[in-house]
Amino acid sequence: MEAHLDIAGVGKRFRQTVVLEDLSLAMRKGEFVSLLGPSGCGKTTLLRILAGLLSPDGGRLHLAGRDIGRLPPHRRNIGVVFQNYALFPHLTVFDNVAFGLRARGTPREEIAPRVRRLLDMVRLGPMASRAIAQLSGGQQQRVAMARALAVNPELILLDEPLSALDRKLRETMQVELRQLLRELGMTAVFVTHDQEEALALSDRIAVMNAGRIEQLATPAEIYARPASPFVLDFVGQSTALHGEVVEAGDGRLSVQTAYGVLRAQGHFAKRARVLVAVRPERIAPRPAPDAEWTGIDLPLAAQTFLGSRRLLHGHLGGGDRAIVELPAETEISGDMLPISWRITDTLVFPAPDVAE
Amino acid sequence: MTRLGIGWLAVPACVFCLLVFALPLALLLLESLRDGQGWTLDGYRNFLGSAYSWQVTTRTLRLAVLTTLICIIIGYPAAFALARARGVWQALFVAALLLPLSLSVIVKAFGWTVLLRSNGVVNRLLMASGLTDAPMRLIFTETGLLIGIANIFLPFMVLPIFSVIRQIDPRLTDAAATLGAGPIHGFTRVVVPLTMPGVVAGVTLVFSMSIAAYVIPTLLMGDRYQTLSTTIATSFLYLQDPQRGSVAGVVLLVLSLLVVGASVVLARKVRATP
Ligand SMILES: Nc1ncnc2c1ncn2[C@@H]1O[C@H](COP(=O)(O)OP(=O)(O)OP(=O)(O)O)[C@@H](O)[C@H]1O
Ligand SMILES: [Mg+2]
Repeated sequence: MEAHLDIAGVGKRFRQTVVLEDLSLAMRKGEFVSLLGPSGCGKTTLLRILAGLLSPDGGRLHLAGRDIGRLPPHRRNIGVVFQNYALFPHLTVFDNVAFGLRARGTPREEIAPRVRRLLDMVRLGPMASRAIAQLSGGQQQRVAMARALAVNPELILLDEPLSALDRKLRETMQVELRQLLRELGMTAVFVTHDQEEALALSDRIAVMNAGRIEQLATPAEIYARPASPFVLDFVGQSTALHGEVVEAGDGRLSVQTAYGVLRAQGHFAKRARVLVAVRPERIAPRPAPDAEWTGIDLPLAAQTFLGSRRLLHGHLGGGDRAIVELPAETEISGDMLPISWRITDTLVFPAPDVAE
Repeated sequence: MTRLGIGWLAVPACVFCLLVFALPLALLLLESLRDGQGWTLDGYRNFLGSAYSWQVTTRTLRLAVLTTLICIIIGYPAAFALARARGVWQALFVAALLLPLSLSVIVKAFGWTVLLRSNGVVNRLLMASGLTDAPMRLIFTETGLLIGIANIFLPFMVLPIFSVIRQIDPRLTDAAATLGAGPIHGFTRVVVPLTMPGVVAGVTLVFSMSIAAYVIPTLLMGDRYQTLSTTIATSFLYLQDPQRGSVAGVVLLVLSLLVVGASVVLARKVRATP
């Protein structure tokens, strides 16, 4: 099946700095893909290239079977919700939403009903004649959505559309936004550096780091099977211990760490430097009960209480870290805790070159 | 600080304005309604009934309108060039615009009398470029006056527009483009409306200065070119006719307010047009 959006080998550098490196990404129609990555990794740059606001150094862009790589932004039919919205301050809510329709020469009698429908969709019907400055942040966000959707684009790009809102509002808006886009069957690229937001909303997540996509997969897979130590670290929390493979064979490993020998699955040469990791909720507060489990004795540093859950932080050195998630009512005493997890839950990566 | 507390900061300015502007204006108005005998509308009757006064008034108005239009036509794109210029270039352009302001108007007007002479720089350039064969008569013509006055008042158009352009979020034009607006639609529907406050400020400054200009017309056109300002001066200084001078002053003021007010209304309209 042909991809709806196909980004192939796009690169971009500003002077000497490489901002995007040979980046490729294909999306189905109606798919919601998040670009997740730290500040400065090139997310906005990629969106601007897609929208035609920035020209890439190389690569090809196809949207709905059309080569859009050489089209100016106003011919691409891609809606954009900008970071901080970029609403037209001199126009009313209605005129902001109608802007794209008027720019395309839509007949006057079609504009009003379409704008009203969109405003109703984002629950701003009664605000049509308000000035932009008279709206709250959440309302402005919805005007920006309605404005981008009014022209019925082939693709909508959203650059951290919720980051300016407070936490509570952000959570409601997440759900609304996802529902709206799903109802419209809209293909969306959503930029965020909030991993929870990406996990909650996306069909797939592209985790970006330094201008490259480190992993492109479903949220569940990104969380359970991170492709690199960067993804492991950036998405969710984890225990991660550096070590050296001391025994290897049959896809089974023994790894010597500073806190004892751990067993894991994987294919590594003996003496290879590796990083052994496990997600916090996979850990049980007891010694390994049988050969299917492996574990260490963890020196405890601190606890955080999260209502229904409790997080225990380990006191480790040398670039190692440990975090255990337990039900809140679990009683923990002493400053040493035996912990263990299933060998099948263990993640093993080649050790990163530079220990952070 | 409370609102009231902040409000007190404006008191010195208010007192100053009251004493220096409002009070003389009130006196001017009273003076225009009085002659040796008592209260009368004769001053206005005489002024409006005189073909010569009408001629002077329309001439003054035409000069101010043309000056303002020339300043908009040259100043608007110049303000964009200034806003686009980078680093040192921008600093140089701003300096080129600001430095002449530190010179007295008299010096600049004299400068133009030299430039506009038949063997002056302007004529030599025109002839060297082949645009004209013989020197054009520029000094003591309205064309020469417009060149000089527009040049002298140009910074007052460019600077307010420039400062407004700098505040326009560049992502607004990006947003317009992604919504399907070509460069022209984006410019006329987003950029132009948002620069309107700067244009109004520029028009207010240039129009009210050029309608009241005294030194520049006198130096570039001579005494026979009467404007409302020169009428005021001659009435008070030579004719000892304070009523005529006051009436001309009131007419000048009303015209300024009307045109500036109209430009505000017009700009609001442009700004709110979707
Ligand atoms: N016009 C430019 N000139 C030079 N460097 C630029 C330019 N625009 C972006 N960059 C650089 O490119 C890199 C990526 O920028 P980009 O805005 O795409 O990051 P981002 O992932 O969107 O970050 P954030 O989450 O902070 O918005 C940054 O290091 C930035 O400094
Ligand atoms: Mg960004």
